[in-house]
Amino acid sequence: MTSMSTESLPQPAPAGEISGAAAARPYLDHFVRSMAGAGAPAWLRTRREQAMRHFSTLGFPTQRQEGWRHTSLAPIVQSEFALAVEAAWTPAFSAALARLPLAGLAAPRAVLLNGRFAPAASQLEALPAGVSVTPLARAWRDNAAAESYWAKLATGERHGLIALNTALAEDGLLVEVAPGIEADQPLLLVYASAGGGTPASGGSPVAQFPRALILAGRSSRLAVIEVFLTLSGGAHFTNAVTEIRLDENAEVDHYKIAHESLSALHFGAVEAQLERDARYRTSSILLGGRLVRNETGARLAGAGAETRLLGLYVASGRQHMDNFTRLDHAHPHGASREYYKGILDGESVGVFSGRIIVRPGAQRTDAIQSNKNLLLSETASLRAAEPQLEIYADDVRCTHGATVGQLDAEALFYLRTRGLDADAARRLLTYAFANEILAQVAVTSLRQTLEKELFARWSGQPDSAPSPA
Amino acid sequence: MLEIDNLHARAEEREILRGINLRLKAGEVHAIMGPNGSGKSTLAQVLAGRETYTVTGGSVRYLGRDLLEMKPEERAREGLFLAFQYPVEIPGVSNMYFLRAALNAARKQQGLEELDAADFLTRVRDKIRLLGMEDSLLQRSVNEGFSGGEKKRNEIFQMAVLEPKLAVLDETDSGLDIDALKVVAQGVNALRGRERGILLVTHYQRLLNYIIPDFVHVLSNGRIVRSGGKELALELEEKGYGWLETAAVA
Ligand SMILES: Nc1ncnc2c1ncn2[C@@H]1O[C@H](COP(=O)(O)OP(=O)(O)O)[C@@H](O)[C@H]1O
Ligand SMILES: [Mg+2]
Repeated sequence: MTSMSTESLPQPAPAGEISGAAAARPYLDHFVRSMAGAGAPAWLRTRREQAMRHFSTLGFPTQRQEGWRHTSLAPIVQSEFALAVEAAWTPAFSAALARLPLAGLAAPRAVLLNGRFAPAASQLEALPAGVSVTPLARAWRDNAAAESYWAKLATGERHGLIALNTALAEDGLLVEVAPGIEADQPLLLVYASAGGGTPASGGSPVAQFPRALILAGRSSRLAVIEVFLTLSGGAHFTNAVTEIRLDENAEVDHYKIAHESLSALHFGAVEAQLERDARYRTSSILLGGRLVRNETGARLAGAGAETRLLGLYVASGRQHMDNFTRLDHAHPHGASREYYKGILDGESVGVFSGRIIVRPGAQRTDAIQSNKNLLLSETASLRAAEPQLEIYADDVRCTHGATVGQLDAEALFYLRTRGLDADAARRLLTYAFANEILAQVAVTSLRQTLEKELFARWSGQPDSAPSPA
Repeated sequence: MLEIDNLHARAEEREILRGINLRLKAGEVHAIMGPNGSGKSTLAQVLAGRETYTVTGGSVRYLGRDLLEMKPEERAREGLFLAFQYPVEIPGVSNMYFLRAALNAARKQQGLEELDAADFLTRVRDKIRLLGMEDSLLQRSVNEGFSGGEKKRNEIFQMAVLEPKLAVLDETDSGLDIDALKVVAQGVNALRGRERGILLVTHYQRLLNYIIPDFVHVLSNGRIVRSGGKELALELEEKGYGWLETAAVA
């Protein structure tokens, strides 16, 4: 029995206008039909219902909303998706996954298929001691930490898409690192989508709502890599939310790699909370997807916390990639570093907007933000918002810079005088531009895979990449 | 191998080369000297195919071909090498990859098989030693964070690996201490040979103590105002460029 009915929800706006709210209807109906997770613990039902209420009030973000000016969600709002299609893991998926180098990194891995844990594809036997991975569907029932933290960092109160994920996620992953544990291996989380446009989905593309909660205990250390891939079906809507909590003095090295098909629609939010002296590094690498909106937020909730946000977005054709970052300094002596780079070709559009909040009392905050873009064609464009600085403390250092440019003519000439043709020289310099971000990927196997992947993309050579040591 | 006839070139409305004539035969070393701003680098860059300069008159033939018709990369693959006065930094590309790509471009042109990373290393090892380079320099980004001397040495190293037919060295000696200068000279002398030509652009006579040129030309205000044997360099060292400049304007 669900404790909620459609009547208790605000009614969507009248049909005709594609407002966020009108488009919310099918999701609402699905939510009600799925009985909001019957059998789920009361706290979970309450959180989901709340989230559904937020979603039905807020709807999908529109371009009139702050932070959304340059990105229209029309391709998502106007499409019909088969919601949460359950698909069994098949040998064909294993074969498809095996062809994707990013899924084959040597590391314990958990695989989600359309948002649900896929034990057949996961390899969790070799998890480092003190690290555990539990499907959320189970953790919700019996793990007190899940109740304490799930949907607390990314609440959806003010964000329709996060609310939607919170209401509809039926599974996901809980990663826990025990206090004092320094994991000697990275952990790989693979988010695979399959089945769009196939009989399993009734012909419609699939919508999936993957979810992860990562809890790093006091003085623990973990590297975690999230990879988003399309196994079959091409078109799909991924709405993924990852929450990361770093307890005191914990260190997390997080990577998000969005490498879905060129017809995929992707919304992702990674929300981190750093307690005292915690160190959080995150890299968002956007390579695939037709429309991507990637939000990275970090709240420095204890003194002395440090964070570094790296971003690389590589778009061509008609890809649209929107990067939104929010750094929230709530305590003194916090440091944040933010470096985002974009490479835009074809008719692609890149968007970058970065918000930095320095709350009252967050003295000696030190924040640096930089966004550099390379335009490879005359039809590609970058839309950068003015940096949004909200500073309520006075002893603060905040610097920011943004550039949009083309390849350096002198470097091109230099390469040509050494016999490289103009095209090869251009591709090499494009790679070199990306390399500044890749070079900072601390997980060697991941770095090498990305180097190869990107170098091959520009050079067509599956050769070793030209990165310096 | 190189025949420059009445070459004129400009950059942005400004005429820089105003009628250069020069003939360099295989096996010869020519030095071009001249004060700052006389057009030495412009000449070197025009020979390499830099598009910021527009050739407004004259002709250049290289190995019997019209050089000015060739793209920079074609010139390189046909054995023309320019050591830059200011080598360019390319962060994100390893020196090793860069050199191998360059060498393979030339090999492809000659119908030879391309070298993989291991073969390449074997081949360049003794050149590294010849130039007293640190192996680690190969792993670093091209010229990034190199000292002035390291950059110049890296140019000569590239030349040694590519074994060009015609090497144009633009002030490769400037800013080097005497030890580095000797190393550079050694690299150049090792390349000297009957089928090769070298055009040394220099501001100072000092280099010519170590690389003895067959001919010395003085460039002033976009023209070669005097040519002679190696003694001309000494004369310049003694008298400075002043007397020739006045001569050129007159
Ligand atoms: N790209 C350019 N645009 C405008 N002026 C230039 C350019 N390159 C060189 N010049 C000018 O041409 C003259 C010759 O320069 P250059 O060839 O570099 O001399 P050198 O190498 O003999 O010192 C100088 O006055 C210089 O300022
Ligand atoms: Mg010069």
